[in-house]
Amino acid sequence: MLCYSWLNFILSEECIISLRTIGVNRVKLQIGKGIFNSDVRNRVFNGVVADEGSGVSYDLPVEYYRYKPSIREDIENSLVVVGHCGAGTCLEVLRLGKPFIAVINDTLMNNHQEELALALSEGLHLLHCTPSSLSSTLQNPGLFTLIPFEPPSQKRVAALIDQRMAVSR
Amino acid sequence: MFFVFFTVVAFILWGILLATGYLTYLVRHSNHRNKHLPKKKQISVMAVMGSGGHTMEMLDLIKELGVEYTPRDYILAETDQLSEQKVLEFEKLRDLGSFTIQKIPRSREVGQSYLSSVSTTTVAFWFALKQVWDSNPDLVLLNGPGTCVPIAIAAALLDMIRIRDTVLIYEESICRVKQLSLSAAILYYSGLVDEVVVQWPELKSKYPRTTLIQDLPDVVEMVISDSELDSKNK
Repeated sequence: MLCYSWLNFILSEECIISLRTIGVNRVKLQIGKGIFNSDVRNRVFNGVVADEGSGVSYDLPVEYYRYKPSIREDIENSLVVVGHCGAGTCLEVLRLGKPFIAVINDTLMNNHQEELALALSEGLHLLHCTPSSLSSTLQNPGLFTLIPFEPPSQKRVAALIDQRMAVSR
Repeated sequence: MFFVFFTVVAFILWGILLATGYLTYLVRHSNHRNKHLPKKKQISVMAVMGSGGHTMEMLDLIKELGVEYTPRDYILAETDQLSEQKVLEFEKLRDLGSFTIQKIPRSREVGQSYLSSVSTTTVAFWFALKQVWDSNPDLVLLNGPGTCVPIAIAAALLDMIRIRDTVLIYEESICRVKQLSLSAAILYYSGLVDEVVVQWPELKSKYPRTTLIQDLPDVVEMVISDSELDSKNK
């Protein structure tokens, strides 16, 4: 599983307990430009943080890296994905059919990137939460009964263009 | 005195001319237009590519277009290496008809001052006009980035003065749920594009002249499964 910002939250005792409850046995983080706070740095990673590495948080193995060209493989191998609610991330995770929790960053309210995450959660395609409610959302039984999301087919638009261009099929 | 009189009259006449040009453009680009378009064997396409997600969405659409849609001109921002790579990959896999990649300067970089953005926008518009003239597209596909507005205006202008016939289709990104992006709003309110396709019902109710993708007729595909083929062969 992966996440971007609010990294420190997911490594808190509360969240780790929730993760264990739903059967997670390893945490993988794509941290981007994220920074671990000093508590996490010392407790999990023995005070050393580079571009990639690993540690243990409350007996749960944790791995992290900054960027990868494609995180598709990591998504495919995961039980549940936690991420920011950027449109690209949402769509990629849903396309691969993984349960997804989009964490809404309180400081970025009214960002139009969030529109999509909220609309998708209204359709029960994903769950969304704030960093502080992440732990309880992880234990939400709805997480594993989300409805797969099919984006509308572009064939319809192509047919509209055919009609407009007077192309008959 | 005469000078003032003629200046005023000239202004009024120009105003009437431009308004007429614009109004006839709107009528020509109304829904019933396709009946009058000559049937063409080949339809040249100009696709204005954005960055990242926009590029992928545009390629998803182009993938569904038939063999008639050739040649294709992809318009990219000068600085966008990644999209160029994506387009080349896509066309290599598809291997259908011919295509070119054209680059135009960005109309506005983030954080640019207002005054200098006036001059760069003028330059961008000039490039767009030249590009549309050279490519001579029958169909212009747009989906979001700022570069698409100068292209749309250029294509519409050439259509307005009746030296080109162009259909403009704008498809809003799936990321837009509640509000049209700025480029889409400009094109929607000015009526320069033939269609604005949106992907969420909320947008359709807020902007009634858009087309909701779910409202379009579903395309029934002829899928013949292996078992049916076998029974036919027997």
